[in-house]
Amino acid sequence: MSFAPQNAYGRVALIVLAVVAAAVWFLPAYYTGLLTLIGIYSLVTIGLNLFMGYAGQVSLGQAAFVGIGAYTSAVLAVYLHVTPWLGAAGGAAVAALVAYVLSFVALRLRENLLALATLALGIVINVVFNEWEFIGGSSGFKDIPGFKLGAFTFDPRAYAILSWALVAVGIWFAGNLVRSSFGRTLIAISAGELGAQALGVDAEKLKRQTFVLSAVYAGIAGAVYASYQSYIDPSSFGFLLSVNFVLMSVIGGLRSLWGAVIGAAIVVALGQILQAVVPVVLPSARGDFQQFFLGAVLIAILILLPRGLAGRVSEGGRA
Amino acid sequence: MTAATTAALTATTLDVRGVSMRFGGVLALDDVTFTARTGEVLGVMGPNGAGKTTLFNVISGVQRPTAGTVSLGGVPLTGCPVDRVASLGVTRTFQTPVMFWGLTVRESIAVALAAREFGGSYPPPPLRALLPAGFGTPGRRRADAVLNDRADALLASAGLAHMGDRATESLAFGEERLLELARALAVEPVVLLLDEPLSGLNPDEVADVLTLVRAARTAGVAVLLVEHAVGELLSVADRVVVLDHGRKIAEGTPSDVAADPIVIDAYIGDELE
Repeated sequence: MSFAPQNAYGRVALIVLAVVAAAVWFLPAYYTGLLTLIGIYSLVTIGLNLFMGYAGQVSLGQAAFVGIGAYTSAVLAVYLHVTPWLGAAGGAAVAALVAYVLSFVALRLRENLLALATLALGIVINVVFNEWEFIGGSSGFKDIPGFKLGAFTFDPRAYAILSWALVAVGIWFAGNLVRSSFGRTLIAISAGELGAQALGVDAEKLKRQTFVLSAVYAGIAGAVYASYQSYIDPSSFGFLLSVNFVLMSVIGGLRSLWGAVIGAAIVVALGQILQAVVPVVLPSARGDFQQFFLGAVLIAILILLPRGLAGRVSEGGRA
Repeated sequence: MTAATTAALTATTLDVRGVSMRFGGVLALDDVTFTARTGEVLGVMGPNGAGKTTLFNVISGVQRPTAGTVSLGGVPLTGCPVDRVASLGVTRTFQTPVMFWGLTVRESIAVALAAREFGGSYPPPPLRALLPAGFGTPGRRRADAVLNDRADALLASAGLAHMGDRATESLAFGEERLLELARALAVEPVVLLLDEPLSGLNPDEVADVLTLVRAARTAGVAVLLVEHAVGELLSVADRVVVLDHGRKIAEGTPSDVAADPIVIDAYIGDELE
Protein backbone atom coordinates (compact mmCIF):
# COMPACT_ATOMS: atom_id res chain seq x y z
CA MET A 1 0.00 0.00 0.00
CA SER A 2 1.43 3.32 -0.97
CA PHE A 3 1.22 6.09 1.57
CA ALA A 4 -0.25 8.57 -0.88
CA PRO A 5 -4.01 9.06 -0.47
CA GLN A 6 -5.77 7.00 -3.11
CA ASN A 7 -9.06 8.81 -3.26
CA ALA A 8 -10.13 12.37 -3.89
CA TYR A 9 -11.35 12.70 -0.31
CA GLY A 10 -7.83 12.06 0.98
CA ARG A 11 -6.21 14.50 -1.45
CA VAL A 12 -8.67 17.29 -0.72
CA ALA A 13 -8.35 16.58 3.00
CA LEU A 14 -4.57 17.01 2.79
CA ILE A 15 -5.05 20.38 1.12
CA VAL A 16 -7.55 21.43 3.79
CA LEU A 17 -5.11 20.28 6.47
CA ALA A 18 -2.33 22.32 4.88
CA VAL A 19 -4.57 25.39 4.79
CA VAL A 20 -5.48 24.94 8.46
CA ALA A 21 -1.84 24.37 9.41
CA ALA A 22 -0.91 27.61 7.69
CA ALA A 23 -3.92 29.61 8.87
CA VAL A 24 -3.39 29.00 12.58
CA TRP A 25 -0.23 31.14 12.46
CA PHE A 26 -2.26 34.15 11.36
CA LEU A 27 -5.64 33.65 12.99
CA PRO A 28 -6.51 35.19 16.34
CA ALA A 29 -6.69 32.60 19.13
CA TYR A 30 -10.49 32.77 19.18
CA TYR A 31 -10.73 31.56 15.58
CA THR A 32 -8.06 28.91 16.08
CA GLY A 33 -10.19 27.59 18.92
CA LEU A 34 -13.27 27.52 16.70
CA LEU A 35 -11.30 25.70 14.01
CA THR A 36 -10.27 23.07 16.54
CA LEU A 37 -13.85 22.63 17.68
CA ILE A 38 -15.05 22.35 14.08
CA GLY A 39 -12.39 19.73 13.41
CA ILE A 40 -13.37 17.68 16.47
CA TYR A 41 -17.08 17.89 15.63
CA SER A 42 -16.38 17.10 11.95
CA LEU A 43 -14.69 13.88 12.99
CA VAL A 44 -17.75 12.82 14.96
CA THR A 45 -20.09 13.80 12.15
CA ILE A 46 -18.12 11.95 9.46
CA GLY A 47 -18.60 8.79 11.50
CA LEU A 48 -22.25 9.61 12.10
CA ASN A 49 -22.79 10.18 8.37
CA LEU A 50 -21.63 6.65 7.65
CA PHE A 51 -24.30 5.35 10.01
CA MET A 52 -27.05 7.82 9.17
CA GLY A 53 -26.41 8.90 5.60
CA TYR A 54 -25.05 5.73 4.06
CA ALA A 55 -26.59 2.98 6.20
CA GLY A 56 -29.82 4.98 6.51
CA GLN A 57 -30.08 4.64 10.30
CA VAL A 58 -30.35 7.27 13.01
CA SER A 59 -28.47 7.93 16.24
CA LEU A 60 -29.51 10.54 18.76
CA GLY A 61 -26.89 9.41 21.27
CA GLN A 62 -23.61 10.14 19.54
CA ALA A 63 -22.47 12.62 22.22
CA ALA A 64 -22.33 9.72 24.67
CA PHE A 65 -19.57 8.08 22.64
CA VAL A 66 -17.68 11.35 22.53
CA GLY A 67 -18.03 11.44 26.30
CA ILE A 68 -16.84 7.86 26.69
CA GLY A 69 -13.75 8.65 24.61
CA ALA A 70 -13.11 11.80 26.65
CA TYR A 71 -13.56 10.15 30.04
CA THR A 72 -11.55 7.06 29.12
CA SER A 73 -8.62 9.12 27.93
CA ALA A 74 -8.88 11.41 30.97
CA VAL A 75 -9.00 8.50 33.43
CA LEU A 76 -6.05 6.79 31.75
CA ALA A 77 -4.03 10.01 31.78
CA VAL A 78 -4.85 11.22 35.29
CA TYR A 79 -4.91 7.94 37.18
CA LEU A 80 -2.46 5.84 35.17
CA HIS A 81 -0.32 8.52 33.51
CA VAL A 82 -1.01 7.07 30.10
CA THR A 83 -0.14 9.44 27.25
CA PRO A 84 -3.21 10.91 25.50
CA TRP A 85 -1.98 9.33 22.26
CA LEU A 86 -2.68 5.94 23.77
CA GLY A 87 -5.62 7.41 25.66
CA ALA A 88 -7.27 8.28 22.35
CA ALA A 89 -6.85 4.69 21.22
CA GLY A 90 -8.25 3.52 24.55
CA GLY A 91 -11.16 5.97 24.26
CA ALA A 92 -11.94 4.68 20.79
CA ALA A 93 -11.76 1.09 22.03
CA VAL A 94 -14.08 1.64 25.00
CA ALA A 95 -16.55 3.64 22.86
CA ALA A 96 -16.49 0.83 20.30
CA LEU A 97 -17.06 -1.79 22.97
CA VAL A 98 -20.01 0.09 24.47
CA ALA A 99 -21.49 0.66 21.00
CA TYR A 100 -21.05 -3.02 20.22
CA VAL A 101 -22.87 -4.15 23.35
CA LEU A 102 -25.64 -1.55 23.00
CA SER A 103 -26.15 -2.41 19.34
CA PHE A 104 -27.69 -5.74 20.33
CA VAL A 105 -30.55 -3.82 21.90
CA ALA A 106 -30.75 -0.74 19.70
CA LEU A 107 -30.24 -2.15 16.22
CA ARG A 108 -33.19 -4.52 16.46
CA LEU A 109 -35.27 -1.38 16.25
CA ARG A 110 -36.00 0.74 13.25
CA GLU A 111 -36.39 4.41 12.44
CA ASN A 112 -38.35 6.23 15.15
CA LEU A 113 -37.79 3.49 17.69
CA LEU A 114 -34.07 3.38 16.93
CA ALA A 115 -33.96 7.15 17.37
CA LEU A 116 -35.68 6.82 20.74
CA ALA A 117 -33.44 3.95 21.82
CA THR A 118 -30.22 5.80 20.97
CA LEU A 119 -31.59 8.92 22.65
CA ALA A 120 -32.29 6.89 25.80
CA LEU A 121 -28.86 5.24 25.71
CA GLY A 122 -27.22 8.63 25.41
CA ILE A 123 -29.13 9.89 28.42
CA VAL A 124 -28.36 6.77 30.47
CA ILE A 125 -24.65 7.06 29.72
CA ASN A 126 -24.79 10.70 30.72
CA VAL A 127 -26.41 9.70 34.00
CA VAL A 128 -23.48 7.33 34.58
CA PHE A 129 -21.05 10.22 33.99
CA ASN A 130 -23.02 12.25 36.52
CA GLU A 131 -23.29 9.65 39.24
CA TRP A 132 -19.95 7.88 39.06
CA GLU A 133 -17.70 9.59 41.60
CA PHE A 134 -14.59 7.77 40.33
CA ILE A 135 -14.78 9.85 37.17
CA GLY A 136 -15.65 13.05 39.00
CA GLY A 137 -19.43 12.82 39.12
CA SER A 138 -21.28 15.99 38.29
CA SER A 139 -18.28 18.22 39.02
CA GLY A 140 -16.29 16.56 36.23
CA PHE A 141 -12.64 15.94 35.62
CA LYS A 142 -9.97 18.62 35.94
CA ASP A 143 -6.33 19.01 34.91
CA ILE A 144 -6.42 16.49 32.09
CA PRO A 145 -2.90 16.26 30.65
CA GLY A 146 -2.38 17.54 27.14
CA PHE A 147 -0.91 15.84 24.10
CA LYS A 148 2.87 15.90 23.88
CA LEU A 149 5.30 15.33 21.09
CA GLY A 150 8.73 14.78 22.66
CA ALA A 151 9.28 17.77 24.91
CA PHE A 152 6.61 19.84 23.14
CA THR A 153 3.28 20.15 24.94
CA PHE A 154 0.46 20.93 22.51
CA ASP A 155 -0.65 24.54 22.33
CA PRO A 156 -3.96 25.69 20.77
CA ARG A 157 -2.36 25.83 17.31
CA ALA A 158 -1.14 22.27 17.61
CA TYR A 159 -4.64 21.12 18.66
CA ALA A 160 -6.13 22.76 15.57
CA ILE A 161 -3.61 20.95 13.39
CA LEU A 162 -4.12 17.66 15.27
CA SER A 163 -7.90 17.80 14.98
CA TRP A 164 -7.74 18.54 11.26
CA ALA A 165 -5.12 15.83 10.71
CA LEU A 166 -7.61 13.44 12.27
CA VAL A 167 -10.35 14.83 10.02
CA ALA A 168 -8.07 14.13 7.04
CA VAL A 169 -7.45 10.55 8.11
CA GLY A 170 -11.11 10.09 9.02
CA ILE A 171 -12.42 11.38 5.72
CA TRP A 172 -9.82 9.38 3.78
CA PHE A 173 -10.86 6.17 5.56
CA ALA A 174 -14.58 6.90 5.17
CA GLY A 175 -14.04 7.88 1.54
CA ASN A 176 -12.36 4.56 0.80
CA LEU A 177 -15.13 2.79 2.64
CA VAL A 178 -18.09 4.38 0.86
CA ARG A 179 -16.60 3.61 -2.53
CA SER A 180 -15.91 -0.02 -1.69
CA SER A 181 -18.26 -2.97 -1.78
CA PHE A 182 -18.82 -2.31 1.94
CA GLY A 183 -20.15 1.18 1.25
CA ARG A 184 -22.31 -0.03 -1.60
CA THR A 185 -23.86 -2.62 0.65
CA LEU A 186 -24.60 0.12 3.19
CA ILE A 187 -26.45 2.06 0.50
CA ALA A 188 -28.26 -1.13 -0.51
CA ILE A 189 -29.64 -1.78 2.99
CA SER A 190 -30.60 1.85 3.32
CA ALA A 191 -32.56 1.74 0.05
CA GLY A 192 -34.09 -1.72 0.34
CA GLU A 193 -33.19 -3.67 3.43
CA LEU A 194 -35.33 -6.71 2.63
CA GLY A 195 -34.03 -6.82 -0.92
CA ALA A 196 -30.44 -6.83 0.33
CA GLN A 197 -31.23 -9.46 2.95
CA ALA A 198 -32.64 -11.68 0.22
CA LEU A 199 -29.14 -11.60 -1.34
CA GLY A 200 -27.51 -12.79 1.89
CA VAL A 201 -26.73 -9.41 3.44
CA ASP A 202 -26.88 -9.58 7.24
CA ALA A 203 -28.28 -6.09 7.64
CA GLU A 204 -28.09 -6.09 11.43
CA LYS A 205 -24.42 -7.08 11.43
CA LEU A 206 -23.64 -4.49 8.78
CA LYS A 207 -25.36 -1.78 10.83
CA ARG A 208 -23.55 -2.98 13.94
CA GLN A 209 -20.12 -2.70 12.33
CA THR A 210 -20.99 0.78 11.05
CA PHE A 211 -22.41 1.87 14.42
CA VAL A 212 -19.23 0.68 16.15
CA LEU A 213 -17.13 2.50 13.56
CA SER A 214 -19.08 5.70 14.19
CA ALA A 215 -18.37 5.26 17.91
CA VAL A 216 -14.64 4.93 17.13
CA TYR A 217 -14.74 8.29 15.32
CA ALA A 218 -16.63 9.82 18.27
CA GLY A 219 -14.31 8.24 20.86
CA ILE A 220 -11.16 9.61 19.23
CA ALA A 221 -12.77 13.03 18.91
CA GLY A 222 -13.72 12.91 22.60
CA ALA A 223 -10.18 12.08 23.69
CA VAL A 224 -8.80 15.03 21.76
CA TYR A 225 -11.54 17.25 23.20
CA ALA A 226 -10.67 16.21 26.77
CA SER A 227 -6.99 17.04 26.42
CA TYR A 228 -7.70 20.20 24.46
CA GLN A 229 -10.11 21.56 27.08
CA SER A 230 -8.18 19.96 29.96
CA TYR A 231 -11.54 19.91 31.74
CA ILE A 232 -14.68 17.85 31.08
CA ASP A 233 -17.96 17.38 32.87
CA PRO A 234 -21.17 15.47 32.08
CA SER A 235 -22.90 18.52 30.64
CA SER A 236 -20.29 18.64 27.86
CA PHE A 237 -21.76 15.45 26.41
CA GLY A 238 -25.48 15.87 26.90
CA PHE A 239 -28.47 15.34 24.68
CA LEU A 240 -28.18 18.75 23.01
CA LEU A 241 -24.74 17.88 21.69
CA SER A 242 -26.18 14.68 20.17
CA VAL A 243 -28.87 16.75 18.52
CA ASN A 244 -26.22 19.12 17.21
CA PHE A 245 -24.35 16.21 15.60
CA VAL A 246 -27.55 15.21 13.83
CA LEU A 247 -28.00 18.85 12.77
CA MET A 248 -24.45 18.91 11.38
CA SER A 249 -25.11 15.69 9.48
CA VAL A 250 -28.37 16.85 8.00
CA ILE A 251 -27.37 20.43 7.28
CA GLY A 252 -24.25 19.35 5.44
CA GLY A 253 -25.93 16.53 3.58
CA LEU A 254 -26.36 13.06 4.97
CA ARG A 255 -24.79 11.10 2.18
CA SER A 256 -21.81 13.36 1.85
CA LEU A 257 -18.57 13.19 3.78
CA TRP A 258 -17.52 16.79 3.14
CA GLY A 259 -21.07 17.69 4.06
CA ALA A 260 -20.21 16.54 7.58
CA VAL A 261 -17.40 19.10 7.73
CA ILE A 262 -19.55 21.83 6.20
CA GLY A 263 -22.36 21.01 8.62
CA ALA A 264 -20.01 21.11 11.61
CA ALA A 265 -18.63 24.48 10.49
CA ILE A 266 -22.09 25.95 10.01
CA VAL A 267 -23.48 24.74 13.32
CA VAL A 268 -20.44 25.96 15.25
CA ALA A 269 -20.43 29.30 13.46
CA LEU A 270 -24.18 29.72 13.85
CA GLY A 271 -23.89 28.87 17.54
CA GLN A 272 -21.30 31.62 17.99
CA ILE A 273 -23.32 34.14 16.04
CA LEU A 274 -26.50 33.34 17.96
CA GLN A 275 -24.61 33.52 21.24
CA ALA A 276 -23.57 37.05 20.32
CA VAL A 277 -26.80 38.20 18.70
CA VAL A 278 -29.58 36.62 20.78
CA PRO A 279 -28.75 38.38 24.09
CA VAL A 280 -28.75 41.70 22.26
CA VAL A 281 -32.02 41.14 20.39
CA LEU A 282 -33.81 39.21 23.11
CA PRO A 283 -32.25 40.17 26.46
CA SER A 284 -34.59 37.88 28.39
CA ALA A 285 -33.66 34.75 26.39
CA ARG A 286 -31.51 32.23 28.23
CA GLY A 287 -28.63 30.15 26.86
CA ASP A 288 -30.52 27.26 25.35
CA PHE A 289 -32.55 29.68 23.31
CA GLN A 290 -30.03 29.49 20.50
CA GLN A 291 -31.02 25.87 20.07
CA PHE A 292 -34.39 27.16 18.99
CA PHE A 293 -32.80 29.16 16.19
CA LEU A 294 -30.60 26.25 15.16
CA GLY A 295 -33.79 24.24 14.86
CA ALA A 296 -35.37 26.94 12.74
CA VAL A 297 -32.34 26.96 10.43
CA LEU A 298 -32.49 23.18 10.17
CA ILE A 299 -36.14 23.29 9.14
CA ALA A 300 -35.38 25.96 6.55
CA ILE A 301 -32.54 23.89 5.10
CA LEU A 302 -34.64 20.73 5.05
CA ILE A 303 -37.35 22.54 3.11
CA LEU A 304 -35.03 24.35 0.70
CA LEU A 305 -32.31 21.70 0.30
CA PRO A 306 -33.58 18.29 1.33
CA ARG A 307 -30.21 16.71 0.58
CA GLY A 308 -28.28 19.22 2.63
CA LEU A 309 -25.90 21.94 1.53
CA ALA A 310 -23.49 19.47 -0.06
CA GLY A 311 -26.31 17.52 -1.68
CA ARG A 312 -25.77 19.15 -5.03
CA VAL A 313 -22.03 18.85 -5.03
CA SER A 314 -21.09 15.66 -6.82
CA GLU A 315 -19.50 13.32 -4.32
CA GLY A 316 -19.30 9.76 -5.47
CA GLY A 317 -21.89 10.36 -8.14
CA ARG A 318 -25.53 10.42 -7.21
CA ALA A 319 -25.34 11.09 -3.53
CA MET B 1 -20.52 -34.59 1.55
CA THR B 2 -21.28 -38.22 0.84
CA ALA B 3 -22.65 -39.48 -2.45
CA ALA B 4 -25.93 -40.26 -0.74
CA THR B 5 -26.49 -36.74 0.53
CA THR B 6 -25.45 -35.30 -2.82
CA ALA B 7 -28.04 -37.51 -4.47
CA ALA B 8 -30.64 -36.41 -1.94
CA LEU B 9 -29.76 -32.79 -2.58
CA THR B 10 -30.16 -33.15 -6.32
CA ALA B 11 -33.31 -35.19 -6.08
CA THR B 12 -35.21 -32.94 -3.68
CA THR B 13 -34.00 -29.43 -3.21
CA LEU B 14 -36.76 -27.60 -1.40
CA ASP B 15 -39.05 -29.50 0.91
CA VAL B 16 -42.17 -27.72 2.16
CA ARG B 17 -43.97 -29.91 4.65
CA GLY B 18 -47.30 -29.29 6.36
CA VAL B 19 -46.90 -25.52 6.33
CA SER B 20 -49.71 -23.49 7.86
CA MET B 21 -49.80 -19.78 8.41
CA ARG B 22 -52.45 -18.12 10.51
CA PHE B 23 -53.05 -14.37 10.71
CA GLY B 24 -55.55 -13.84 13.52
CA GLY B 25 -58.63 -15.70 12.39
CA VAL B 26 -57.46 -16.16 8.81
CA LEU B 27 -55.68 -19.32 7.73
CA ALA B 28 -53.58 -17.99 4.85
CA LEU B 29 -51.82 -21.33 4.36
CA ASP B 30 -53.39 -24.60 5.41
CA ASP B 31 -51.15 -27.68 5.67
CA VAL B 32 -49.32 -27.11 2.38
CA THR B 33 -46.84 -29.81 1.34
CA PHE B 34 -44.77 -30.05 -1.84
CA THR B 35 -41.19 -30.35 -3.04
CA ALA B 36 -39.20 -28.58 -5.71
CA ARG B 37 -36.26 -30.17 -7.49
CA THR B 38 -33.15 -28.72 -9.03
CA GLY B 39 -33.46 -27.79 -12.65
CA GLU B 40 -37.22 -27.46 -12.71
CA VAL B 41 -39.62 -24.57 -12.94
CA LEU B 42 -42.39 -25.12 -10.42
CA GLY B 43 -45.37 -22.91 -11.13
CA VAL B 44 -47.44 -21.78 -8.17
CA MET B 45 -50.96 -20.88 -9.28
CA GLY B 46 -54.09 -19.78 -7.55
CA PRO B 47 -56.72 -17.09 -7.53
CA ASN B 48 -56.21 -13.84 -5.61
CA GLY B 49 -55.83 -14.43 -1.89
CA ALA B 50 -54.90 -18.08 -2.39
CA GLY B 51 -51.77 -17.66 -0.24
CA LYS B 52 -49.08 -17.57 -2.92
CA THR B 53 -47.19 -14.58 -1.61
CA THR B 54 -47.57 -15.80 1.97
CA LEU B 55 -46.02 -19.09 0.84
CA PHE B 56 -43.04 -17.20 -0.59
CA ASN B 57 -42.74 -15.15 2.58
CA VAL B 58 -42.64 -18.33 4.65
CA ILE B 59 -40.08 -20.06 2.44
CA SER B 60 -37.80 -17.00 2.24
CA GLY B 61 -37.91 -16.36 5.98
CA VAL B 62 -39.88 -13.10 5.88
CA GLN B 63 -42.55 -14.80 8.01
CA ARG B 64 -42.30 -17.75 10.32
CA PRO B 65 -45.00 -20.38 9.69
CA THR B 66 -47.50 -21.18 12.43
CA ALA B 67 -46.90 -24.87 11.76
CA GLY B 68 -44.85 -27.05 9.43
CA THR B 69 -41.28 -27.00 8.17
CA VAL B 70 -39.29 -25.79 5.20
CA SER B 71 -35.94 -27.39 4.43
CA LEU B 72 -33.35 -27.25 1.72
CA GLY B 73 -31.56 -30.51 0.96
CA GLY B 74 -32.33 -31.60 4.51
CA VAL B 75 -31.16 -28.37 6.14
CA PRO B 76 -34.03 -26.74 8.04
CA LEU B 77 -34.87 -23.18 6.99
CA THR B 78 -37.88 -22.67 9.25
CA GLY B 79 -37.33 -19.76 11.59
CA CYS B 80 -34.12 -18.60 9.87
CA PRO B 81 -33.97 -14.89 9.05
CA VAL B 82 -34.11 -13.83 5.41
CA ASP B 83 -30.36 -13.35 4.99
CA ARG B 84 -29.61 -16.74 6.51
CA VAL B 85 -32.11 -18.41 4.17
CA ALA B 86 -30.42 -16.57 1.30
CA SER B 87 -26.94 -17.63 2.37
CA LEU B 88 -28.21 -21.24 2.42
CA GLY B 89 -29.21 -20.85 -1.23
CA VAL B 90 -32.80 -19.55 -1.39
CA THR B 91 -33.30 -16.09 -2.80
CA ARG B 92 -36.30 -14.25 -4.14
CA THR B 93 -37.68 -11.30 -6.02
CA PHE B 94 -40.64 -9.16 -4.99
CA GLN B 95 -43.97 -8.21 -6.54
CA THR B 96 -42.77 -4.63 -6.46
CA PRO B 97 -39.07 -4.73 -7.42
CA VAL B 98 -36.78 -3.61 -4.60
CA MET B 99 -34.20 -1.25 -6.07
CA PHE B 100 -31.02 -0.01 -4.39
CA TRP B 101 -31.46 3.68 -5.09
CA GLY B 102 -28.13 5.44 -4.83
CA LEU B 103 -26.33 2.69 -6.72
CA THR B 104 -25.87 2.08 -10.42
CA VAL B 105 -27.10 -1.10 -12.09
CA ARG B 106 -23.55 -2.51 -12.05
CA GLU B 107 -23.10 -1.67 -8.38
CA SER B 108 -26.42 -3.33 -7.52
CA ILE B 109 -25.19 -6.55 -9.06
CA ALA B 110 -21.84 -6.13 -7.32
CA VAL B 111 -23.64 -6.01 -3.96
CA ALA B 112 -24.99 -9.47 -4.66
CA LEU B 113 -21.55 -10.65 -5.74
CA ALA B 114 -19.92 -9.27 -2.58
CA ALA B 115 -22.22 -11.46 -0.49
CA ARG B 116 -21.25 -14.38 -2.71
CA GLU B 117 -17.54 -13.58 -2.25
CA PHE B 118 -17.84 -14.24 1.48
CA GLY B 119 -19.68 -17.53 1.31
CA GLY B 120 -23.14 -16.12 0.72
CA SER B 121 -23.20 -13.82 3.73
CA TYR B 122 -22.14 -10.20 4.12
CA PRO B 123 -20.42 -8.62 5.99
CA PRO B 124 -17.64 -10.89 7.22
CA PRO B 125 -15.74 -9.83 10.39
CA PRO B 126 -14.28 -6.28 10.17
CA LEU B 127 -10.75 -7.56 9.60
CA ARG B 128 -11.88 -9.13 6.34
CA ALA B 129 -14.02 -6.39 4.79
CA LEU B 130 -14.52 -3.14 6.72
CA LEU B 131 -10.86 -2.47 7.58
CA PRO B 132 -9.33 -3.51 4.23
CA ALA B 133 -11.99 -1.40 2.50
CA GLY B 134 -11.41 1.64 4.72
CA PHE B 135 -7.63 1.47 4.42
CA GLY B 136 -8.00 0.86 0.70
CA THR B 137 -5.66 -2.11 0.63
CA PRO B 138 -4.57 -3.19 -2.86
CA GLY B 139 -6.08 -6.63 -2.25
CA ARG B 140 -9.49 -5.18 -1.46
CA ARG B 141 -9.31 -2.79 -4.42
CA ARG B 142 -8.47 -5.65 -6.75
CA ALA B 143 -11.29 -7.74 -5.29
CA ASP B 144 -13.76 -4.88 -5.83
CA ALA B 145 -12.52 -4.43 -9.40
CA VAL B 146 -13.11 -8.13 -9.97
CA LEU B 147 -16.66 -7.77 -8.58
CA ASN B 148 -17.27 -4.94 -11.07
CA ASP B 149 -15.97 -7.03 -13.98
CA ARG B 150 -18.07 -9.99 -12.95
CA ALA B 151 -21.10 -7.73 -12.60
CA ASP B 152 -20.53 -6.52 -16.16
CA ALA B 153 -20.20 -10.10 -17.39
CA LEU B 154 -23.45 -11.05 -15.67
CA LEU B 155 -25.23 -8.02 -17.10
CA ALA B 156 -23.98 -8.96 -20.57
CA SER B 157 -25.21 -12.53 -20.21
CA ALA B 158 -28.62 -11.20 -19.17
CA GLY B 159 -28.70 -8.90 -22.18
CA LEU B 160 -28.37 -5.80 -19.98
CA ALA B 161 -24.79 -4.83 -20.84
CA HIS B 162 -25.91 -1.36 -21.94
CA MET B 163 -27.43 -0.62 -18.52
CA GLY B 164 -24.36 -0.97 -16.28
CA ASP B 165 -23.68 2.73 -15.71
CA ARG B 166 -27.29 3.79 -15.24
CA ALA B 167 -28.56 4.97 -11.91
CA THR B 168 -31.18 2.61 -10.54
CA GLU B 169 -33.46 5.62 -10.00
CA SER B 170 -33.65 6.09 -13.77
CA LEU B 171 -34.88 2.60 -14.69
CA ALA B 172 -38.29 1.89 -16.21
CA PHE B 173 -40.47 -0.66 -14.45
CA GLY B 174 -39.58 -3.49 -16.82
CA GLU B 175 -35.88 -2.74 -16.43
CA GLU B 176 -36.28 -2.87 -12.66
CA ARG B 177 -37.76 -6.35 -12.95
CA LEU B 178 -34.91 -7.54 -15.16
CA LEU B 179 -32.29 -6.02 -12.85
CA GLU B 180 -33.86 -7.59 -9.79
CA LEU B 181 -33.86 -10.96 -11.51
CA ALA B 182 -30.25 -10.59 -12.67
CA ARG B 183 -29.28 -9.53 -9.14
CA ALA B 184 -30.95 -12.60 -7.65
CA LEU B 185 -29.18 -14.86 -10.16
CA ALA B 186 -25.85 -13.23 -9.27
CA VAL B 187 -25.88 -14.95 -5.86
CA GLU B 188 -26.09 -18.31 -7.68
CA PRO B 189 -29.11 -19.53 -5.77
CA VAL B 190 -30.13 -23.17 -5.41
CA VAL B 191 -33.76 -22.07 -5.23
CA LEU B 192 -35.13 -18.91 -6.78
CA LEU B 193 -38.56 -17.59 -5.81
CA LEU B 194 -40.09 -15.26 -8.39
CA ASP B 195 -43.17 -13.37 -7.25
CA GLU B 196 -45.14 -12.29 -10.34
CA PRO B 197 -42.05 -11.52 -12.43
CA LEU B 198 -44.12 -10.87 -15.56
CA SER B 199 -46.70 -8.44 -14.26
CA GLY B 200 -46.44 -4.99 -15.73
CA LEU B 201 -44.07 -6.05 -18.52
CA ASN B 202 -44.45 -5.57 -22.27
CA PRO B 203 -44.23 -8.65 -24.53
CA ASP B 204 -40.52 -8.15 -25.26
CA GLU B 205 -39.72 -7.91 -21.57
CA VAL B 206 -41.84 -10.99 -20.84
CA ALA B 207 -39.75 -12.87 -23.39
CA ASP B 208 -36.53 -11.59 -21.76
CA VAL B 209 -37.63 -12.73 -18.30
CA LEU B 210 -38.73 -16.15 -19.57
CA THR B 211 -35.36 -16.56 -21.31
CA LEU B 212 -33.59 -15.85 -18.01
CA VAL B 213 -35.88 -18.26 -16.18
CA ARG B 214 -35.17 -21.03 -18.67
CA ALA B 215 -31.44 -20.35 -18.50
CA ALA B 216 -31.57 -20.60 -14.71
CA ARG B 217 -33.40 -23.92 -14.98
CA THR B 218 -30.73 -25.20 -17.36
CA ALA B 219 -28.09 -24.12 -14.85
CA GLY B 220 -29.78 -26.35 -12.26
CA VAL B 221 -31.73 -23.76 -10.27
CA ALA B 222 -35.09 -24.77 -8.81
CA VAL B 223 -37.33 -21.88 -9.88
CA LEU B 224 -40.61 -21.32 -8.06
CA LEU B 225 -42.81 -19.05 -10.09
CA VAL B 226 -45.90 -17.25 -8.85
CA GLU B 227 -47.67 -15.69 -11.80
CA HIS B 228 -51.10 -14.41 -12.69
CA ALA B 229 -50.45 -14.73 -16.41
CA VAL B 230 -51.62 -18.35 -16.47
CA GLY B 231 -50.78 -18.91 -20.14
CA GLU B 232 -47.13 -17.92 -19.69
CA LEU B 233 -46.89 -19.81 -16.43
CA LEU B 234 -48.18 -23.05 -17.97
CA SER B 235 -45.85 -22.62 -20.94
CA VAL B 236 -42.68 -22.31 -18.87
CA ALA B 237 -43.46 -24.52 -15.84
CA ASP B 238 -42.43 -28.16 -15.64
CA ARG B 239 -44.86 -28.81 -12.82
CA VAL B 240 -47.56 -26.74 -11.20
CA VAL B 241 -48.90 -26.49 -7.66
CA VAL B 242 -52.34 -24.91 -7.33
CA LEU B 243 -53.42 -23.15 -4.14
CA ASP B 244 -56.91 -22.01 -3.24
CA HIS B 245 -57.85 -20.44 0.08
CA GLY B 246 -54.49 -21.48 1.47
CA ARG B 247 -54.86 -25.12 0.58
CA LYS B 248 -53.09 -27.10 -2.11
CA ILE B 249 -55.88 -28.29 -4.38
CA ALA B 250 -53.84 -29.75 -7.23
CA GLU B 251 -50.31 -30.60 -8.32
CA GLY B 252 -49.05 -31.99 -11.61
CA THR B 253 -47.92 -31.20 -15.12
CA PRO B 254 -49.26 -28.02 -16.68
CA SER B 255 -51.59 -29.96 -18.98
CA ASP B 256 -52.98 -32.10 -16.15
CA VAL B 257 -53.56 -29.08 -13.95
CA ALA B 258 -55.13 -27.04 -16.75
CA ALA B 259 -57.63 -29.86 -17.34
CA ASP B 260 -58.36 -30.48 -13.65
CA PRO B 261 -62.03 -29.64 -12.90
CA ILE B 262 -61.16 -28.62 -9.32
CA VAL B 263 -58.69 -26.06 -10.63
CA ILE B 264 -61.11 -24.76 -13.22
CA ASP B 265 -63.76 -24.50 -10.52
CA ALA B 266 -61.43 -22.52 -8.25
CA TYR B 267 -60.63 -20.02 -10.98
CA ILE B 268 -64.20 -19.69 -12.27
CA GLY B 269 -65.50 -19.51 -8.72
CA ASP B 270 -63.04 -16.71 -8.09
CA GLU B 271 -64.21 -14.80 -11.14
CA LEU B 272 -67.86 -15.17 -10.13
CA GLU B 273 -67.25 -13.88 -6.62
